[in-house]
Parts: sequence; C-alpha cells; structure tokens
Amino acid sequence: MDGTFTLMIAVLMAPLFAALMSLTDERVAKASNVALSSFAAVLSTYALARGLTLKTGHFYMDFYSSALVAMISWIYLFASLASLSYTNRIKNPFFPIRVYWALLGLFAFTMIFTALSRSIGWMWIGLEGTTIVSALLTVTDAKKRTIEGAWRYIIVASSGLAIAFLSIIIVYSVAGTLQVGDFTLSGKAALLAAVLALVGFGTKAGLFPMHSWLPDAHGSAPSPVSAMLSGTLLPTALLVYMRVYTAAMPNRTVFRVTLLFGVLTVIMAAIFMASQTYLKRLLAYSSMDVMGVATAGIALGYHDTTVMKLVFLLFAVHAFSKGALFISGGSLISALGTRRIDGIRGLFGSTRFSWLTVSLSALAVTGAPPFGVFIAELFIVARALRDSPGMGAALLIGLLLSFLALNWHVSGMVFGRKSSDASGEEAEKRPDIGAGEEIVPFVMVLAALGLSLWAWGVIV
Amino acid sequence: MSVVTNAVDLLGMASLLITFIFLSASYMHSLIDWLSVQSAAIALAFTLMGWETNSYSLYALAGITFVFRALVVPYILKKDIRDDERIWRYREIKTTHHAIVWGLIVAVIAYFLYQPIYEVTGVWSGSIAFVMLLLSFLAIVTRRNALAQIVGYVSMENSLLYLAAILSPMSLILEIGILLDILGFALLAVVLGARKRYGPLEVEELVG
Repeated sequence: MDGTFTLMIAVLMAPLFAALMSLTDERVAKASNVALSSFAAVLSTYALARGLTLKTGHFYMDFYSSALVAMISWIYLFASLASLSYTNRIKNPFFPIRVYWALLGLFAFTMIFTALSRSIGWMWIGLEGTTIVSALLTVTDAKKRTIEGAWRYIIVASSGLAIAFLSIIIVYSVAGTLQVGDFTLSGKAALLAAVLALVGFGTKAGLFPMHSWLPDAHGSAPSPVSAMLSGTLLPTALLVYMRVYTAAMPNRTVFRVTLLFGVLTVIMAAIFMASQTYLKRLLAYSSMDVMGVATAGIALGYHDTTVMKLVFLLFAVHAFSKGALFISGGSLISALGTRRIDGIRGLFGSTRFSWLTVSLSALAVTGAPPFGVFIAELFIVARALRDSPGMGAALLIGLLLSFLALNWHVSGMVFGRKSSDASGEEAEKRPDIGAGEEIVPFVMVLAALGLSLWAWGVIV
Repeated sequence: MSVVTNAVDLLGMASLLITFIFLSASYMHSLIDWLSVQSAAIALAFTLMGWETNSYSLYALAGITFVFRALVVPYILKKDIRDDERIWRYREIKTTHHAIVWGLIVAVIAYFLYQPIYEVTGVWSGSIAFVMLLLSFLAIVTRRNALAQIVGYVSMENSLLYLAAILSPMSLILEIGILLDILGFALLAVVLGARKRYGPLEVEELVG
C-alpha cells in the first residue's frame, strides 16, 4: 500500500508542481507542464494497468478513480501540447500567459484531487476548486463574450454545487461520516441525498435541465481547456455522484430518477445539436449527450458491474475523441475566422489531417463501431431495455438522433461546399493550420481508436 | 430551547429579512451595506453556536465570515463603485419589478420543500437558512448586473454555511467556508477585470 500511496501522491503533486513552476517564466511554464503531465500520465497508466488500489484516511482509489486519474493525466498532457501553439494566437490575454499555464496545471490537480479523495466533502471541495480554476481559464482570451460565458458558468455551477452541498449535509447528519465506503443510506434519507446530489453534481456534469452553463463555457473557453472541461471535468462530477448513488442503492426511486435524468439529457442534447449554428456549442451539446448516456449507465451499473466499467470506457474514448474535436475545431475557427458551422466547409482536400480527425472523432463520440463508445452504448441500451423497456427505447431513439445530428453537421464541414452567395475569395479560403497543430488531435483520435480495439479484444 | 438557540434563530430571521432587501433594493450602495449587516449577523450566530458547542471551527468560521464577507468584500465593492461615484450614486440597478412577490412565493414553497429535510434531520430551525438559500438563488437570477449578482452569491454562501452549521456542524465546514470565499474572490476578480475593460457588466443572453 505504501508504494501505491507514494505513486499516487506523485501523480497528484505533478500538476501542482507544474503550476507553481509556471509562475516563474513562460518557457519554464511550457516545459514543466508538458514534462510533468507526461510523468503523471505514465505513472497513472501504470497504476491502472497493474490494478493498484488505495484506501487511507484521506485517499481512496478503486478501478473507477484509477481510470479517471489516468484519463485526466493524458488529456492534461494533450491539452498542454495543444496549448504550445494555442498560446501564440492569444491576442488580448486577460492575464499573463504564464498564469494560463499555472491554471492549466491547477485544473488537472483539482480534478485528480477530487478523484482520489476519500471523503465526499473533500470531493465537493475539489469540484468547487475546478470551478474557480476553469472559470479563470475560460477568460484567458479576454473578450466580452468569454467573460460573460465564464460568469454564467461560475454562477450556475456554484449554485448547483450549493445544492450538492445540501446532499452532503444530509449524508453527514444521517451517517455521521462522509468517507466513501463507510456510509450507506436508506429510506427517505437515501432518496433525498441522492436526488440532491443528482441535481447538484448533475449541474456540474451538464445534465438536463441544469446544463445551461455548458455551451457558454465550452464555447468561450480556449480549445485545450474545452477539451479538459468536456473530457475530464464532466466525468469527475459524475464520479462523485456515483459514490453517493452507490451508497443510496438499492432504492428503486433513486434508480428510476437517475435513469430518467440520463435519458432526458440524451434526448434534449440530440434536439439542441440538430439546431446548432456554432461549432463549439455543438460539441458542448454532444458532451451533454455522452454524459446523459453515462448517467443512465451509472443507474443501470449498480446491478451490473460490467456496465459500470463500460461507462468508464465510454468516458475514456469520449475524452480522447472529444478532445481531438475541440482542439481541431479551435484551430479551424482560428484559421478561418468564424465560429459558425456553415463557415467551415470543404475540409477534405484543403487540410492534411484535420478532415480525418474531425470525421473519426465525430464517429467515435456518437458511438459508431469499432469505437469504445459503441460497445458501452450497446451494453447500456441492452440493459436499459431489459430493466426498463420504455426508458431503453427512449434512450435508443435519443442516441440515434444525436448520431445523425453531429455527423450531419460534421459531414457538411468535411465534404460540403461554401454557399453560392459567398464571395470568390471567401469560397476559396483554405484553413492555414500548421502540421504541428494537426498532429496533436490526430494522435488523440488514434489513441481513442487504439483503446477501443483493446476493449474489443478484452470483451470478445 | 436555550437562550443561545433563540438568539441564533433571531439572527437567522434578521438575515432572512435582509435577503428580501437583496431582491428589491435599487441602489448598489444600499445592497453592499446590507450585505455587511447580514454577514455580521451570520458571524455572530456562528460565534454563539461555537460558544455553545465549544467548537473552534465555528469560531474560526465566524472570524472568516466577519473579516471577508462583512468587511473585505463590501470594501472592495465600495472601492470599485467609488471610482464611478457619479454613475453609481444615481444609477438604479435593474431588477424584476415583481421580485419581492416572487420572493414571498419562493419562501412559502421553500417551507414545504424543507419538510423532507426536516423528516430526515429532525431540525426545524434549518428552515430559516433553507428559505434564505432559495431567496439568495432568486436574488442571483433576477439581477442582470454582475456586482448585484455577487451580493446574491455572498448571501448564498452565508445561508449555505449557516444551514450546515445548524443541521450538522461537520469537521470540514471551515475548509468549505474558506473555499467559498476564494470562489467569491475569483468572481470579484473576473467582474472587476471585465469592468475595467468594458464598463459595468450587464449579463446579456448569449447567442447560439
């Protein structure tokens, strides 16, 4: 246990050191973030591969938290790599660029801290920490739009977490402890604590109808930050809910309410996606869709640990491929000078890898085979149809709608042509994206593919 | 019921009435003054609870509440609006006309929403803090001006910590109080930074 403890403390402290070193100088900031995120990624993957677990007074790590920590570390690494070129494009920074790097490290630290904490009280503190840091990251490129987005994010997320705090108060007043694994809830206390936790942590995870901050924050944040927000922050919030949910089960009402929130989120996200005009907001709604499926998976996973583990496969493949979509999308928006989906056309033929990255990533996040999201969604829908046929059918319809909505928009971006009323120069405009900027998201989508193929091997 | 419990409930009621003022006040100066008074009342309530339970965490929380939320945050807000004294002295901040009516409706609904919490915890006086919490949410959503929303946020923070202290004074309450204050300062940093660049931040609908 001592070795595992040391290992995980190293993983936890790596981004914090990077954050502190970043404050000295911009070059040091870049080097320390890339080096220490690589260090954290390698160590956390080792811990996951070896199946290491941890249970001390303050820290707790099972398969789920271990998988999440590995995911956070890898996305932090890719976000750092993407930030190398992104930070050169910031014209009007809200604070010095080295502060951006420090906040990036702190963002990873607060998420890893949340995932490894044993007390749900400390998890709540960690999640509030993520709100502070990520809201500041959102305003990196100071525009009125980004500031308003960050503002709405802080107000909605902290209000949601206030409700989650009520759940924690109830858990403590009933059980007398907040330590994961040491408390179980029953009767009205279980229902009350779980529903408040679902609403509170669900706000942070972007569940319907508390999702309003999600498109604003994702749409306004720098692309590498959007990748971390979408790929790792939302699953971190759901991990905290999963801890409360597991303690409150078996309670049929808690199960039904959680499943209902998940299914409603998928359906509403699909409807919002179909009518989107702006690329990053479209991707934000796609993240909301995946969190809906994951919430349904968490509800169903209490009776089936395979489904629960597949929720984390869903998180991992989504994190890599959505990260790739956000980073590619950010480069395209910057190169073409438009946030509109219909302003990005004809990527096939005008970009080296971006068209392939965007196409594969969109297929990955919407659950096309052979990606891991397909395997997870298949199991979740099958289990939902067995446990609650009506909900299962609604979930299936929602997933089909979101698949069509995102891939329809993306196919337009990749193969579509500019409208005939665009001027000749505008119609001919080719995105000027460096090869370096294209490689990072391409490697991310390859990682998602590799992980998916490995998952097929394990399951078959 | 002890004298201390009565005094704590009385301070809670006073804070609750002040939350109604947050819904209806039209001038920034008065909002900030009332925020100081509410935070001081909550700090006094924490001190009394700390004295009764012999809890150093509650004493520390009382100190933090008084220093940060009754003195420092109002000072920063006042200093900021003093720069534009002519604007703020006479500038009415937008509020929904029927906010106070909505406040009364929310207070009645909150009373019923508190019933399940009472059934689980068995503590009635938490209803005062719970009503205050929902009214603070309302104060945030009915305001369009970011500084006025900060006042709503700090009121939410006061009511949340007050509720936690009344229902079950957990060991983490001090850390949570500190964190909420840091979040409050992050809010201030964003708003004041934005104001320097773009003027008073009226939150508008984002398109998309």
